[in-house]
Amino acid sequence: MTEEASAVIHVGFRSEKIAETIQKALDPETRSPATYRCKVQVKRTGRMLTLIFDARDTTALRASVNSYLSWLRLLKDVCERVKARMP
Amino acid sequence: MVGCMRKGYCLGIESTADDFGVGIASFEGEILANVNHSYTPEKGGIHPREAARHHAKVAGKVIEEALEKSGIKIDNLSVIAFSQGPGLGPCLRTGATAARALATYLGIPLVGVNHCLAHIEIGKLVTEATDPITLYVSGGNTIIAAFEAGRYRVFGETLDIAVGNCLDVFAREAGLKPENGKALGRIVEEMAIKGRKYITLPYTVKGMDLSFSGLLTAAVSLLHEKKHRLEDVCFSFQETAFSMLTEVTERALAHTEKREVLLTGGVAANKRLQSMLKTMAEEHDARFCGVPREYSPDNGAMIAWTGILCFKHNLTVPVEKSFVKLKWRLDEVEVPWVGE
Repeated sequence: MTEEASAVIHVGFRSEKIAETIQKALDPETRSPATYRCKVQVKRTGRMLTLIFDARDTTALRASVNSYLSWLRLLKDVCERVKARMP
Repeated sequence: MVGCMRKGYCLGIESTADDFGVGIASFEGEILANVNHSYTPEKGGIHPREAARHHAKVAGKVIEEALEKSGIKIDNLSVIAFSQGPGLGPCLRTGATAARALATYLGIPLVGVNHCLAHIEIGKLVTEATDPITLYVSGGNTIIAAFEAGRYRVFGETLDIAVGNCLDVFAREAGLKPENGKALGRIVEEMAIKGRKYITLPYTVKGMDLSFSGLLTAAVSLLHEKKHRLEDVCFSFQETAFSMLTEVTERALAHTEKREVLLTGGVAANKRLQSMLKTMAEEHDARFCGVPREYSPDNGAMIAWTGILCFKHNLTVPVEKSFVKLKWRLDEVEVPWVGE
């Protein structure tokens, strides 16, 4: 028997441009996931991103949430470094 | 061709396995930066998720360092390239997300580069080879390839594990550990130099393909028997594996009648392998082109340079379609710039 698991994460960013960039960077991963055990949607409202996870079980949910949190940290870091270097 | 008349720079991201590399190259083929940060597991081989976590942690810092070293301004970048495959899923996805973010934020095109092709193209750039037969040997790949009839053709390859992986597993079974920044393969190489006695091991060449798993099992059995000096086992192991590689490369060279032999990939740093291939190439009046240590393992510069070649031929990819390709073969890739 499969147990369903879900999570919703809201993350705010410094600018709308950074939020939009991160949404676009994650979009192909949501459409071509490593596993079909977890479906992820990334939605944006202004500077806020909402990540919605729907998994078959808590193991898949945990793996997916960890991956996306790691990417969010990476993307926020990259965008902020790029922004600081822009003329 | 669109980009060839424009001056510009490409930032390339390599993240197929344990290395996170960022390179910056000019459209004229000058490598301005090549910064790399490796994931080293505490024990055992590469754990893909742990490697990806490492890449996510260091990405921003490595990109920043590469930009600093290159001396160019970020708005001088014309294109972003990334290793799209083949490789480990979590690692590829991490590099791809960073590349997509850079391309989107800067509003510049994105190029997905085949990792194997990038090894060949950087090798050609730095050794000035024009049309070589290539032996690409690393932890994940063992390929003998050459350009024929419009694209790179794979003349021979491993049927099971890659030679670099074979060397690493053997070294770990022998109780060897990376030390002072030396890779396991280098430590086996140093032990092999001290070897004197050759012990017969399985030599498996099937047509133009190779198999290393039987060799590995037999070499590990020898270690467990403890009847031979470790130096002699390392020596015999290397001699057998590299003879197999040299034999297949020689047959591909004879068949294609190329005039150059290019050796690339992480295992290309091995001096014994270099020497065997050089001798073989010279016997066929071919030039041996060994890729220098800076560019033979996985690196960002090779992705940046191949990204430029792709960009100049309109081989860009929209961000929304830039999915990673875990099993993207070299012979599936378009290379319109070769033979121009």
